[in-house]
Amino acid sequence: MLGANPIESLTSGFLLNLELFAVTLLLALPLGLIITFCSMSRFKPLKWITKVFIWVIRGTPLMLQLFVVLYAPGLLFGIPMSSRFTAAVIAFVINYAAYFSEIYRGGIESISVGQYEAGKVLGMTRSQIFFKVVLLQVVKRIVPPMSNEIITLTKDTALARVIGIGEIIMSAERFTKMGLIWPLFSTALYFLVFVGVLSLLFGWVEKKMDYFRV
Amino acid sequence: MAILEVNNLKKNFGNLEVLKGIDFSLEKGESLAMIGASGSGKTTLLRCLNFLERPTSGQIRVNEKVVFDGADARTLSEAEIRKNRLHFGLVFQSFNLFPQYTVLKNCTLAKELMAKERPDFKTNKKQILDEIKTEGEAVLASVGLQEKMDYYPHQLSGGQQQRVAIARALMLQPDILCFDEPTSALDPELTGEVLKVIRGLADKKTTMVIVTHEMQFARDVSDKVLFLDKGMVAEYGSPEQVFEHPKEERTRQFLERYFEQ
Amino acid sequence: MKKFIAMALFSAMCVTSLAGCGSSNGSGGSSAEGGTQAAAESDWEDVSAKGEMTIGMTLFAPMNYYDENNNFVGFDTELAQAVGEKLGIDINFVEINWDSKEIELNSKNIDCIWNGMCSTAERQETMTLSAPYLYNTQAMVMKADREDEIMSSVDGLTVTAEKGSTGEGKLQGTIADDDTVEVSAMEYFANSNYVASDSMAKALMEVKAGTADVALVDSVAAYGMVGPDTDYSDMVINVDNNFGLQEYVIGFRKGSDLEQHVSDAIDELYADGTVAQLAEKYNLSDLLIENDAQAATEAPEAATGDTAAEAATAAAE
Repeated sequence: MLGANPIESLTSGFLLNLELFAVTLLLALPLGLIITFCSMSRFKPLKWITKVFIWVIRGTPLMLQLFVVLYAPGLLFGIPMSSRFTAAVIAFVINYAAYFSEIYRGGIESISVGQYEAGKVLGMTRSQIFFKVVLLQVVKRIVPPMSNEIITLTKDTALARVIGIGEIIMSAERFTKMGLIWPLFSTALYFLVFVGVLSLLFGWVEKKMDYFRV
Repeated sequence: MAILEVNNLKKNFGNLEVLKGIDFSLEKGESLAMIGASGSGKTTLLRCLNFLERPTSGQIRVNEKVVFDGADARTLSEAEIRKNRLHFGLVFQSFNLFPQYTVLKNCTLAKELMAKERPDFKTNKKQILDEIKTEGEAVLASVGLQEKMDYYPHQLSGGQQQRVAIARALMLQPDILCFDEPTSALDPELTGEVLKVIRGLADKKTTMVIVTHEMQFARDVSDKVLFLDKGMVAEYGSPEQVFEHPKEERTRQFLERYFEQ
Repeated sequence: MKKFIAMALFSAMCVTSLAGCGSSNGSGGSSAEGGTQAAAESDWEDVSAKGEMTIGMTLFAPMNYYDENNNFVGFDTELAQAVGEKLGIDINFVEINWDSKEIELNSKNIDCIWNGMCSTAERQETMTLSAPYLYNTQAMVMKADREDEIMSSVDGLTVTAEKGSTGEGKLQGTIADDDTVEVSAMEYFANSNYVASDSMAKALMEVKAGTADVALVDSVAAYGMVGPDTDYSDMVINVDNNFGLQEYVIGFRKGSDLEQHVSDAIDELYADGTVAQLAEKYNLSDLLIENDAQAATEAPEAATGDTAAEAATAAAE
């Protein structure tokens, strides 16, 4: 009664998790920075709107956001979302960009005013101060919280199944519906291995920046 | 000829008047010690000179050129401010070294960034950068830190860090070098090496404005002493005049409190 | 300002989807709110223009599943494909989250739900349903070595069913017993503890793990899950108690004209024997509902509760 080999099925499911993970990171990392700048803007309305946006995104479950992105176009305008994967990407990117932006903001605000002033009195421009003086210090500060968030993202990708993305847990659940339990629990291995690799990578990055203190 | 002239400089923070019309001038090669109680406005005055605060009104002239005029302050573009502030160097109380750069890079970074704006940078890149590096090494040698140039700030003592900060400010050859309580953040046993460097600069006739609580040092090193009280210049003159024969009662009281300790 | 409008809109969406989602999960709630604008235009025109009908389904044997050669097969799969041929359109199967099936339908992400879905009073309200085509019963699934004990009394035992399923509705009395019922599930399990499960598959896993003693699930689904080649080989399906018959139907958007076209095609497939052949192929012949106009509206006479239950047992072999 069983279809494809469970291992093959889980592996191809996990590739979807990885794809969603990679695309989300690729887009949410820079988008988060833009949101950070908006939330720190001196233009009050922009700052206020951004804060509300962050509040809404962080204040509602990611699952609900997935539903909204996939179904709202069809429900409100009668134009259904063309691709489920695109819907998942949009929801994940928006959600994670909001979280990233707050981590960025925390990192930027933790840099002492003295660093900016030192740059100013040395005749640097604002962008020189940001990129040459502040940025690397911010990066060092945010690596630990970002590692956490990115590891969480790895596992959150499994939530995409609620809008019918055939990721690894959904693949495994096909087997439970056919009476095979073990594939569901084996999915843990995939996540463990991948998160293990990520942890090593983050450890390496942290070590790379051990040469200075902030 | 005065290198620095400050006329009727005022600074308000909201309703609070911190500087109530400061006038003084400084000759080239002179060092000025600025003393006064906390909250008297001396740090604010220094920060105004360095454009870290924008004065509410008044005028600042360097070499007879107006670098700030409260009357048309709004016309000053960021680029102009950037250019004008290069007349001044500033050494902070808390050093504010860049932690991710070596001691040498801390000194050379700003100059390298400026060199990039030079039209001949691309063609003479290596030569220009080498020159800057040599300069950096020299300036570090002048504060006695040439052997530490590849260290990172956190590997140095507070006194060494402050000496690097001085070297970093000297790199840009400012007309006037400012110090904001340069030894206040240091352990007492480390103040000596920093004061020694500043003393050396005074001997070489570097024009300096030093905000300090070290009265003995102010008396020994400076050519002029400015006593600031409640946002106004209460006393201005030679160390001898101010310390030995203060005209004002409040100066006398302030100095007594200090020398009692 | 644009951003603010977008934000307001987004908040509105959140509320809308919350409402839709809540009702699709609830066992007794209504999900009519989401369906207001459904099928405002002709679904059939849309589908025939696209040349494609999108069917929302979940994978389960014997309705929609992959065989050992990784071919997508199943009774519903092949029937739908045959309908597609009749109508001259392609059939696009989309795996959905069963909890979201109503919202999938109303948001036009799918054109119909065709996945061994039981007809219920609630679904008759919120969807346009096809004529029923298969019977389903509720089966008790338990560990084989405890069958005698459990079948003698379920008092004090823990029973589980999929949340929002027919089984749960019967246990909790939200789906009224009709005249096909011989044993009232609510009375039978009156002294048992009830635990809701995420899905029928999870209900069986509860039993396997011992966190529940017995699961009440669709018999057709149970036969797809329990068997000698599965992890549930130590479990048995018991249909001795006839808790009533349900009918499998296809769900369309409320008022959709697509239903008529699909039903006409199914009528033709009944007439040319295709439906009977498929039922034979998937061992469902005894559960097949004959295609006469009365079957859609009246309680079935061709297959009484007894025979259907026997048929369900037969289908297992």
